[in-house]
Amino acid sequence: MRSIHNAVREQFSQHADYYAQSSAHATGDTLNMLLDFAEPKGTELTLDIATGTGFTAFAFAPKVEHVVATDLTPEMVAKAVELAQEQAIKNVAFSVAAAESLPFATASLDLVTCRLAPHHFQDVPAFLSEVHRVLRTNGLFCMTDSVSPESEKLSAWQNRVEKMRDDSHVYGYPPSQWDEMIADAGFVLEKTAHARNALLSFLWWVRPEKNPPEVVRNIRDAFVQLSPEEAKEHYTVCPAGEDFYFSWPMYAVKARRV
Amino acid sequence: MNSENSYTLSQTLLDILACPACKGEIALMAEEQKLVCLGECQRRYPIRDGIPVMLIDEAELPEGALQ
Repeated sequence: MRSIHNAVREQFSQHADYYAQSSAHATGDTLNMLLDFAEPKGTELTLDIATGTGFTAFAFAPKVEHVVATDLTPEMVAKAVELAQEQAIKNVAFSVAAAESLPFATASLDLVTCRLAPHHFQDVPAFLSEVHRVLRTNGLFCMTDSVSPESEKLSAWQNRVEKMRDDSHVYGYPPSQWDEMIADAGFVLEKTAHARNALLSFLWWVRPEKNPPEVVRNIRDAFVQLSPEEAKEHYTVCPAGEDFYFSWPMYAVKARRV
Repeated sequence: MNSENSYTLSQTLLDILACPACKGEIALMAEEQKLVCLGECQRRYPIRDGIPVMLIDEAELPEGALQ
């Protein structure tokens, strides 16, 4: 657990400014999906896990009573605090914490959100068990994340490619495995939705400033190995000269603690 | 609360914080800027720039405790 936590913290401690400015993380369908799923009434004590630089916490803040936002990486939390102060958001509080060992009392929260992060978690069942523990009866868990296709071959391919690009990537589960793990944690699934993130430029996404040329080449070669059908159907690959664009499949879940 | 910090620990957060290790109650040691677990493990968690660092690996164990 410690080594992946270190990899995550190393990855994100160097990129707090990048995430703070990333339009892919600040806006997009996944944020609106979470807001739609959660249907906040204004009274919820809310926890946003792996908040990064706080985009999801800030989007929920005006719609709930209070948001507590956690992240494993102190530099990300520091950036989130700075942004909250700049935006004069008063009802968000922060803590450094691991998703698998939440520092909150049992049955103390009404709503838990988590966006674009669980693929970095070492132990997703432990994370789900903790979310279940901290929620009150009838509390809601709403999350979105990138997922892999149901095909074992493509799921292995996608996770291998993600890990080559970013060592802090742990695993993107297919939706059916998410459903199973969420049910096993004691939740009742109320709603799910499939989506895609906005098309990403490969040459931007692959982070050539961080990854050496042979790694970039290996990742590009991995995309070339996809069949045209796989590339189009699962990853919406579109050629663009030297570059190409693609997207990852996303999944959103609304689950209730009963 | 440390008056030099521009960000201070909120009461709402303090009310729901628990030890991430044993889930025991947490109390604020204002002078030392630490949070102490009142449960079984008695770990102490640092508060840095007003932000509680609730990581098991970074907590101090009480004297004589097994690592």
